[in-house]
Parts: sequence; C-alpha cells; structure tokens
Amino acid sequence: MDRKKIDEFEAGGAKLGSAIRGLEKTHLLWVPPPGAGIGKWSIQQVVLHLMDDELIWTARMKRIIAEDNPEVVGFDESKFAAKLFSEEQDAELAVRILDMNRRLFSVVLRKLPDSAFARTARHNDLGVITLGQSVQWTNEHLDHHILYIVMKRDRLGKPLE
Amino acid sequence: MDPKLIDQYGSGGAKLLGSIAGLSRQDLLWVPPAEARIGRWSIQQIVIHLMDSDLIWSSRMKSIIAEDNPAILSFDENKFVASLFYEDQNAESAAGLLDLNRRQFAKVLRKLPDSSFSRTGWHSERGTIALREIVQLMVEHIDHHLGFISKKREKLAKPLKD
Repeated sequence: MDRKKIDEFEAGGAKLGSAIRGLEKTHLLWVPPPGAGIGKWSIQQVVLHLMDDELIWTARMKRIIAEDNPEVVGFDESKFAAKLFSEEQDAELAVRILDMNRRLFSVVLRKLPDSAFARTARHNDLGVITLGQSVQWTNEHLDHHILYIVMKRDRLGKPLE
Repeated sequence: MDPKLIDQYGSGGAKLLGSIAGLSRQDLLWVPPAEARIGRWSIQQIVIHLMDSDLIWSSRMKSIIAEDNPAILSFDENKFVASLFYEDQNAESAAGLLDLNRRQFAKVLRKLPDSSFSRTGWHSERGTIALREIVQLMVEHIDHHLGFISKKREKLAKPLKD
C-alpha cells in the first residue's frame, strides 16, 4: 500500500471544500439541462452524495479491518439522491462531515501494517474487495465528482480559481 | 412521530461534547477497575464507539428512507474497540463529527411525513426494525453511555457540572 494514498484520502475534504467555495445556494441547487454532458445532478446533490457515500465506505473499511471477510451490501445512490431532501441539507456542513470523517479515519489507516490493506470483504455487487482498493476508490470517487463540479462551475460562470 | 424526539436526536452531539468537557487525555484513557462496576471501557473508547455506531446507524436510516425494507448487517462493536486504535483517535473530533452528522440528518428527519417513520429495514440480528424505533434507540444509546461517562467522571474526581 502506497502510504501517499492515505495522505490523499485525508486531504480529500479540503479539496472538496475548495471546489464549492464562493458558490451561492442558487448555484449549488442549479440542475444542468439534459444533454449538457456535465452530469445530471446539482452540485448540492453531488456534495451530499459524496458525504453519504463516504460514511458508508468508511463503515465498510472499519468492518474489513475489525472483522474477518465481512459481508457488505451496496446502496442505491439514485434513490438516496431522490429521497433524502438533499436540497434542504447544508452543503458546507456535508463537506465538514466528510472532512472530519476522513481526518479521523486517516489516523486509523496510518496505524495499520501493510498486510492489513489486503484484508477483504464480500460485496454483494462488487464481489471480493480489499481495504487497499477501498481507499483507492474513495480517492478516485471524490476526484471524479470534483471534475463534474468544475464543469458545472464553468457553465455557471463561476470557474474554479 | 414526536418532533421532540427528533430534537433530542439532533442535540445528542452537544450533550456528548458537554460530557467530556474539561477532561485531560489521561482522564479520557483511564480504564476503570472491574470491581468499580462503572463499565469496562475508558471514556475515550465510549466516545469513539458512539461515533462509529452513530455514523453507521444514520446510514442505515438513510437506506430505510430511500429503499424498500433494505438489509441491515450488524457490526461487532467489541472487535471495533479492539482493532480500530480507539486510543489514538481524537475524542473531541469524534464527538464533534457525531454532532455535525446528527444536526445534518435531523434536517432530513424533520422533512419526513409521519408515515415514513413506520418504514422498515431487515436487521441481521434484530429482525424487522422501523425508522421510529431507530431514532428512539439512538437517543437512548447516547443517554445510556452518558450515564457511564458521568460515573467515571465522579470516580476521576471530575464530576459533571450542571
């Protein structure tokens, strides 16, 4: 396990915070028109999705570390985005939650020996997953969505500086 | 659903933060002797346990609201305490994270119609569990552990101030 991935994991919250800096509520709630090729969610939905997803993945990683090859189940992100009143939640608070969660969990990841990153879980959709892959995916997942936030900001005339 | 219960849920983090105010790292890590009968975990372990448990239960509640009778898999709290370096984490940050997460999720709970609180999940150990029961459980879970934190503080000669 490349330990830089843990640094990257830890710094993810700050990256997301920067990605939404200077946006007003109307920008956050703007839904791109279909066919724009910049994703169908508002920036607010992206941020809340990231918070929800992170908390679930962290719980899975904790179980992978503490239990032996636990069974983990997927969740329906589209239903989460549709039914959890993302527009009523607070995007900045969501970033703080993700950020604090990553900082706290990085302390755990750094204490682990290299061998722990090969520990596994059985995911009902993804099959066997390792702790190392989970760290990598959560990093990539955040970067993927930040890219779409950047494209949406451009479209809103509020490019990331 | 009694809105007061959601308020209690939403303010649980502030209560937890208040319960550890003024404690040193040494106080947090103190493990009570078995004969004291005030619980076998340090205050630090209780706080990190509450954070881990709360974050997992809020994700479960989200699944119950968004999906139809989702499967909810249990986790082993004793293995979490033993394997997740609880003593190396920061108790105040953990209580702070629990607080922010509850404040955020309380916004979702307040938007739900009464009927949603009868929605259920299928828990691998408890069987069918309704959203309403979980909110209640979460309120009771913090209060249960706060009772033990209070006893430990007395034993440490750092009683909670009113």
